[in-house]
Amino acid sequence: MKVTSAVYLKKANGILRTIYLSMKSGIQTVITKQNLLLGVLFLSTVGANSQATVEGKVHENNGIPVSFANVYLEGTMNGASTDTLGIFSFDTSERGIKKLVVSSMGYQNYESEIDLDKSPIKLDIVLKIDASQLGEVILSAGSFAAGDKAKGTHMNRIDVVTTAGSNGDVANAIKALPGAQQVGEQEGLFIRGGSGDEAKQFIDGTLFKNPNFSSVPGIIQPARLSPFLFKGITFSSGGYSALYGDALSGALILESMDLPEKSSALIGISPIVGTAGFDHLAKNNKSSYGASARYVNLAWYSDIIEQKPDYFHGPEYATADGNFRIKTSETGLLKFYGVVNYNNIGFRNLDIDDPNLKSSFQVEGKNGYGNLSYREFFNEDWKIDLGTTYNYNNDIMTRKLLNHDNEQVFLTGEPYAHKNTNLTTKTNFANTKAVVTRFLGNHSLKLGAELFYENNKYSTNDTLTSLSGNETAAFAEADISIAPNIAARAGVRYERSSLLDISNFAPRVSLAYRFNNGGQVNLAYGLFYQKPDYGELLMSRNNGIEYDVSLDDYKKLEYTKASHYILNYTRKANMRWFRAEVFYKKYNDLIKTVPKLFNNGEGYAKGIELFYRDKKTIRGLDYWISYTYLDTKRNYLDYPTSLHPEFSTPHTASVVAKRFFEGINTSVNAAYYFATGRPYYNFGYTHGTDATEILDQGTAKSYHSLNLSISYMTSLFKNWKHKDFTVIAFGVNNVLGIKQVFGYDYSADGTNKVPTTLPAPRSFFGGIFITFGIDRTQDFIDNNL
Amino acid sequence: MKKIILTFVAVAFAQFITFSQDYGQQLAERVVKLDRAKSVDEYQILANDFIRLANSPKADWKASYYAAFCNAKIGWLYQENPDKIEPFAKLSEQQIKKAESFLDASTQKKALSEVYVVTSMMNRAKVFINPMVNGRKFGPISQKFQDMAEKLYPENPRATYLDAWVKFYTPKMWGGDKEKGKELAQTALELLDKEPDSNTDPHWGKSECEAILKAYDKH
Repeated sequence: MKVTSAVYLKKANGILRTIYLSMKSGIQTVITKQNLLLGVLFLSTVGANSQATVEGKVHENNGIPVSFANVYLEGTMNGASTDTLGIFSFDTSERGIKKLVVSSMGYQNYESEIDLDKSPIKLDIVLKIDASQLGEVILSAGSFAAGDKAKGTHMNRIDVVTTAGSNGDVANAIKALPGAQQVGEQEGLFIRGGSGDEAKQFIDGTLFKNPNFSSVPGIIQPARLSPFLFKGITFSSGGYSALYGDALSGALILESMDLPEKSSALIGISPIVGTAGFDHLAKNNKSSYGASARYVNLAWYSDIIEQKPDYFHGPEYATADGNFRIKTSETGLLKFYGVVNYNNIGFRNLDIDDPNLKSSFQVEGKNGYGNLSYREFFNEDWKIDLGTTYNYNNDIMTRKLLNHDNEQVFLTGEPYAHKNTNLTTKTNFANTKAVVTRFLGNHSLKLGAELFYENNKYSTNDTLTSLSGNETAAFAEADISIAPNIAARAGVRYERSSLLDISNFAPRVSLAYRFNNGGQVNLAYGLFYQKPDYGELLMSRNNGIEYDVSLDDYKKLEYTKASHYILNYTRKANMRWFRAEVFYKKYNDLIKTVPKLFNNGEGYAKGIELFYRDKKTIRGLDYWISYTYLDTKRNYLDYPTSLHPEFSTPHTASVVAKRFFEGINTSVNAAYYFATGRPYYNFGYTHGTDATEILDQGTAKSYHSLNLSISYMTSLFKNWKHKDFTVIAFGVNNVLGIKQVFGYDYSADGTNKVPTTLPAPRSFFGGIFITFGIDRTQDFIDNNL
Repeated sequence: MKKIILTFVAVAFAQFITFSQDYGQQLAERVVKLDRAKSVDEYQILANDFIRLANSPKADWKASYYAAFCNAKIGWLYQENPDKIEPFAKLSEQQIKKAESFLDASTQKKALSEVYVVTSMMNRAKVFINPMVNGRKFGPISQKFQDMAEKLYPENPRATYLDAWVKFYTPKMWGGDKEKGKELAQTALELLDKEPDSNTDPHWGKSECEAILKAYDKH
């Protein structure tokens, strides 16, 4: 028998205790019976002094035991795991002072020196929760982030855009989250008592001016861009970052895709849509380019499914886009996206003032949008983000009064004299933004500036108004990690408009505190300003009371202003997510149009919002419920006094459910929306008086809508070299066919009141979408359902 | 006296056993336990054990490999609880990288193949965190390591098992094939039978393959 330099011995005194004998390496002893005896005696003697038992308990400071913690002596194999009671025990033959390490997932490592000569060693070890393992504390007052990084119960992009009935418009999908109102006759997000134009969309940092096709009175228009273009979606219903401005109530912040994973091509066909496109990724994976086109014509569809307005053109929408993305270095990326759009919609309704006449509306729109962005880390401490965007929009709107044979007629005298109008708008908008980020450990500081330029021409009938101006903004924002579980953000934004010749200063702060159970409390406060939009004022004049919107009066206006106060609590655990938020919002300097254009409007909004998402209780079923309570009043535009605005209602709720049936490769999405009835008003105005008066008012009936979409995934050409991924999908919005009433239009004399409703009770979609290369079946669903 | 001597001989023999209970011996003991492990708790304790073994100055790639395997396995076992996966996947990633750093790509192809199998499993665990989002990114990475493992050591039963798993559990339209999955699981079992008794060399896979065959019978 040979003894090597390291010797372990187990004694049989109840528990076998290990001792360690160190002998000079290289010395080998042949053990005979006698020296074995001696050796054993020797070892036993040494053993009595040279082994130690280390035992104890590992727990949190509140006494909760930490199970499966790894307790060991640094640099050795000696140690043990704690049991479910947090108890551990191990023997060691190490001697003297050694470092004991305790590590467990979700806790900070514990280290302490122990003297192994002072056996028995009993330890009571308190582990601290490692806040960094819970992830950064994300400031989340007022916001829903849906990024690709988001995991588990968080939202991700696909969760948001697959909401049944969103029709490929991110903003529509957002209506299934708390904060937004169910406004079904007009595009845009109506957030917390704010009107549709008080929420803005941003792409890669810059303002996206015209997210939807040209507005049509009473009929919601589709989004210009596909949700597939974005990898990150953040919906802020208030209290958002100082990096963004010109939005009183909320921001939809979109982050575009980086390089695709593979090259791909797609074709989509349905009775109303034709689409085709490709993305090509270079062999070295460092650059890509792509293009796509899409054409939608609902003329055929509206022949089959009867629509309330009598469409004489379209609705027709055409889109062509192109992109490139170039990796300029390991960390640098340059991206370009450009798109041109065309839309043409014309329809006739019975004239509201004389049922023997008709009135027609037609809008033809041409739009071009380009976005170039660049980001780069100079080193670990510095990052730069640059973005520039340009948007051209041209809308030609024509209103005509027609006789029974659809021939244009010109009548004198009110209300008919103003029924034949033309409004042409040509707007050029550019925005350039630079943000420099300095990282300082867990903190960061962002500094930046942006420049806005606009050049707009409005011609109503034969009067041309041109307006051009620029706006500058500068901002600074610090993200401070006060403690591992406390984060704060403090920012300030300065804006100056050359057109209005005024400037403002908007401070914003937000704070987050996370509890050890993962629950988090968030607070936010901020001032938000928005420049009055001349085009919007002109448009709203066309819809109601004729008031004077002179450019001179416009230039005397000031920024409208909102102050947000938000408190929220969120908790995510076990595939469930709960969120509750209360807010108070004060509006100042809102625009009044009657008796004259001036900033003497004001208002408030307050409310409670609840959200609960559960992916756990029913296996395979993912659902969420959201509820919004809103109390808001404002006095603005032509309101005679402070009123509940017609786009607001006290109670709104929605339930969204999704399930994928793997056996049949079919996914079913359903969404149900409920909202109490919205207020409506008929204002009258006598020239020369101080205010309008309410001639009639009421509350529309409540809103119920159930949307459903079903998609079946398959492969048509399985044996091709590049296998296809195909989706056959079908969707119905407002399945129950409930007649929705969003509000009423009044005849000039107030005797005839016509409900604003959906063009048809139900809307249908069906199509087939084939992709080659990568699986982009999801995009089909995103785009169309 | 004789009795006493015998007793001492017995004690000395016991000494001798523990005497040589060095890294290799301890590793072997844990691997025996690993062969019987089923629950997350058992894998968690074993992962701790292997981490301690990896601290030994004498540690080779295997301690880190097994630690990484245990953590990747926990990720797989948490498929129905995806919120819990991420930290285990992260740990597994660190450990498998450490294991890989011990190996020489030109001479230790079989070992490297085993490391790639676990790397593939670890990336698959990342997919489980959120298949809709992570699938696009980590699915192809997992596949890449699986292919590399098969290329380095075509008879690796564990690489074949992964192949079987992917075929069996991928929905039909994304290229899954239950029949093919079953066949591959059978092939993997045959390969496992042919494997020489290996002590501490990776030899897991039997119960995993049998689970696929059981699922096949039920389906």
